[in-house]
Amino acid sequence: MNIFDPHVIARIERLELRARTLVEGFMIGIHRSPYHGISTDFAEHRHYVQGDDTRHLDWKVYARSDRFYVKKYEQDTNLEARFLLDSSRSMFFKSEDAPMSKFEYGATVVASLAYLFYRQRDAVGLTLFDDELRQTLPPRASFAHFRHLTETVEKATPGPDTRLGNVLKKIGLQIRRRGLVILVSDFLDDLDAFGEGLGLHNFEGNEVILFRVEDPIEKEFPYRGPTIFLGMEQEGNLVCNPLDLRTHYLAERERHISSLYGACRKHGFMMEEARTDAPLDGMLSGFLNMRSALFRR
Amino acid sequence: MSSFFVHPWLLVALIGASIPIIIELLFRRRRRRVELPTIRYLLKNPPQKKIKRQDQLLLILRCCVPVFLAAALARPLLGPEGGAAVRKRHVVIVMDSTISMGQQVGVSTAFALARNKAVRLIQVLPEGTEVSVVTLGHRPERRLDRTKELYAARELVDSLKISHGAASMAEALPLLRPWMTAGQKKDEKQELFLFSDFQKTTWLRKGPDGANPVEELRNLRALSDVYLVDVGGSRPFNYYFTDLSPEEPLLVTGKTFRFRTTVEAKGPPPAGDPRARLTFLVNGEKKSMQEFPFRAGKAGVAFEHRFQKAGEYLIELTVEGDNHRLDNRRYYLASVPESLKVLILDEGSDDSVESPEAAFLSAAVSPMERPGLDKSSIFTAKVMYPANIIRENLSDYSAVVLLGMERVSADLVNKLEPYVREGGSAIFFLSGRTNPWEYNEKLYREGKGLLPAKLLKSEDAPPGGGALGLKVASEVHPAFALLADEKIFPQGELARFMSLSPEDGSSKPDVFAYFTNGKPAILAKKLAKGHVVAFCMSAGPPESFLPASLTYPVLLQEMLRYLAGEPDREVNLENGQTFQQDVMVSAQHLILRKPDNSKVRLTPLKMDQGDLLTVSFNDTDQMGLYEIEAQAGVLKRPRFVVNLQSSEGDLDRLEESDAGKMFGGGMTWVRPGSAIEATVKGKYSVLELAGTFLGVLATLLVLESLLAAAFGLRRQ
Repeated sequence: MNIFDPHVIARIERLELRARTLVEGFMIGIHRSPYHGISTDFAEHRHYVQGDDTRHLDWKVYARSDRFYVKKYEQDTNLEARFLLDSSRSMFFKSEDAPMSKFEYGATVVASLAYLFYRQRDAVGLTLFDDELRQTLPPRASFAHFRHLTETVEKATPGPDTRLGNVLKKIGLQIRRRGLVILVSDFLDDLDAFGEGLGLHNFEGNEVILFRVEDPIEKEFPYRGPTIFLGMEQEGNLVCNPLDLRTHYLAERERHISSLYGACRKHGFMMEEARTDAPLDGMLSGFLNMRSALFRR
Repeated sequence: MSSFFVHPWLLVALIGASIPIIIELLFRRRRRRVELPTIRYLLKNPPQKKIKRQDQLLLILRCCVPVFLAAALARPLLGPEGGAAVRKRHVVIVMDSTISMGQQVGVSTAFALARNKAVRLIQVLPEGTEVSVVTLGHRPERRLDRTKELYAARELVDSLKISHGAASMAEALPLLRPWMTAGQKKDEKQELFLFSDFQKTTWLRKGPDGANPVEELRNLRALSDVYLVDVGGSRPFNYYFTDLSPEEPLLVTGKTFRFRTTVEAKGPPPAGDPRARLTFLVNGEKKSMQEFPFRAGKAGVAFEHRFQKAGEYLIELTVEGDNHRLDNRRYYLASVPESLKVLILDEGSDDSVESPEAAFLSAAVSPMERPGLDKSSIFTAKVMYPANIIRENLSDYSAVVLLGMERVSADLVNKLEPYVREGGSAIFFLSGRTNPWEYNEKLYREGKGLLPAKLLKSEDAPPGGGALGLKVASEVHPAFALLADEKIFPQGELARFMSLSPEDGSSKPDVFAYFTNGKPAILAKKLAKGHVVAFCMSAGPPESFLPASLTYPVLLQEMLRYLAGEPDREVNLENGQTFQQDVMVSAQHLILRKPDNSKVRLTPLKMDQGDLLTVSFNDTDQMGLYEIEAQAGVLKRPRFVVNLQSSEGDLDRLEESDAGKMFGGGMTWVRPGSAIEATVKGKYSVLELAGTFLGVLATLLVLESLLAAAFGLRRQ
């Protein structure tokens, strides 16, 4: 039995337990902090340059070598990670063959990563949103907070619509300290506003990691025969023969995803895609790869 | 419903157009309903719009199939005025069949051209059109009244024949207007087609009641569309007769009579010296001929003829030398007895001896003839004792003269009165022997009898004042014109006279002459069809010395001529006049043979309160001799002739420009050269669209199949 198989994971009702199962099984390492500052752990010396704070001058070295060096320290793992989980109606879509809905899949990812962060003593926060910010948990690094986070996600109900741009802008204004923003959504929204939101976070210095969750049926569009498609977020209905539109659908989807990637590339952010029937370890390894890439930058 | 469709009720099938829509809706309900978060990828996409258009196109095509099927079954008709083309339509065809239409136009006649055009017109009339046909020959006549049987109308028009009559449009048009107005139905369009050669005398002559054809036509224009169909013609050089009659209306054998005629020439004369050649025929035998140069105007011509045997003669006159021969003939039917008999009843005469009075009278009526010469009188007299009248057939006599009788028998009255009432003439000489009381009782009968006035008494001429003379009334009767000359009839020739009772109002006789004392001398009265004349004096000496005058025979014979009248008048008619005659014996149907040998059955009818039956015939549309096939004695004159009216002789015609000025606008003038069907086809042509609709339907089915296949292939 593959514990990362969504069909397996889906059998675990409690989100907290899912996260712990996944993370423990995944055997992750400790993150290195990319942020340098005042800390007890010395990192290295470097030449003083004009503008450096004179408090950080190493007078002992100056006494020995008559040169100015400043001390550099390595900051501990006090990362603030904020999860933005899309709880709009479209996220609650689940096709017949899919093991879980997009929201459930995203929630599992969020809980798993939150547990991972907790294990590293990093603070994690949560924001549920649709067209507005619905519920926000500020970042904390306690287990109780983790548990509170998972319970909050479990109680989430579908919101009306998705407005990513609006949400990113509001979150960007709320964050006082640079951190990590993990956005989990199906990204079925206007990408122009979304790009503007990403631009704001880029300006603020936040790192943004995007998880695009997708139902298998959304990718394959296997419908046949006269069908009435019902929009889930006020798009309206459509009567058509899906076969007539499949080519167009797939092209539109590709164009949308390309635009999404384009917006991410523009601001130097990364995006991981996941189908709700895909094993969750891939998601976790993908996340860690992205984190490594971020640290190397 | 003014039907655009032949079977409009089949349009109910248009409901079938909803079937594809219902099917579409049913299929739509059976579609899966699926939530799709990524529906944004499908919305507002060109393929979807295109497919939607394709589906709509297919749906429209499928809806059109029952629509066109229903429309084809309902048989739509398309006309130039939309629905108006199939509106109720009443077409009135007026055929001018006056004799001028018989003129030659090209290789045909104007009437034949008109007939052909009318037939072609009916051929292009749409089904359901009501057609009426009116002809104008010797009179306007409605031949067909509102029939939808176009075939029958066409057959009727095709069988029409030209009439020799010459009625005017002013007689026909006033009859059309009330008829068309009364018969007009709601939403009905009326059209009047007048086929004519537009001869001026037909079109411009006013009607008998003063009707103006121009005004009448304008009135009709307000009621209907008017088409003046000109069948052409020209104004040929034409000779025609205006009359033919004997100078003396009473013809007898053994005496030469002159027949006078007037021939007129109208139209542009041909080059050279046109000559009129007149031929006089009696019973078909050419008797004489006259030829003379004649270009224009009138010419009086006379022919003399002496009848050898008694009988009825058909006098015929023809003229040659013109370009229009239909009217080159004229007839006169003459009754020629041996002589006109006059019966004189005299108490003083018997088979061997005549009284002086009767002798004088007889000699005046029928003077002695000289061998080798013509008769000096057309009358012969027969003197008879009054009681013998029972054996006589009075109808053989043109007049019966009663010399003053003391008594009048009932047999005489019973014999004499019916004779007068049926057209005979009676002359009374009231002498001193006349018993006033007897006459008043049996012959006057308070104005109901034969006598024109009630008798008072016989009086002597006033003593000392001399004998009485005669003077004519202010209105001189032709027969007594001689009395106006005192030199011819000197005063003092009458010794006694019969005075009359003052008028009691029961009768008002015509007084032709007075005595010089102012009392009535000669009176006349019309009784039924006959005449009665009363002389208030004796016919001879000793009471009257008028017979001594040389002009006395003339006076008497003129009087007898007046009484005899014109016996041939009733058998010499013109087109349109009515032939009427008493039937003597039988009430059975009589057969009339017309000049073209067609036969008409005539039924004798009672025309008045008398016992006599009368036969009447007014459809005298042909020129020539008409003959009633009847036993001898049934009819007095079983034959009669009909001549043309002289008004048709001038063939001057209206041209398009003349008609436009006179009739005003708003009428369509169809020129002789133009085909009537081409003129009105656009107006009438109704296109049956059922075939087209079926074609479109088939095309729709094929198109739908092809498109459905093409769209379906794309989806696979």
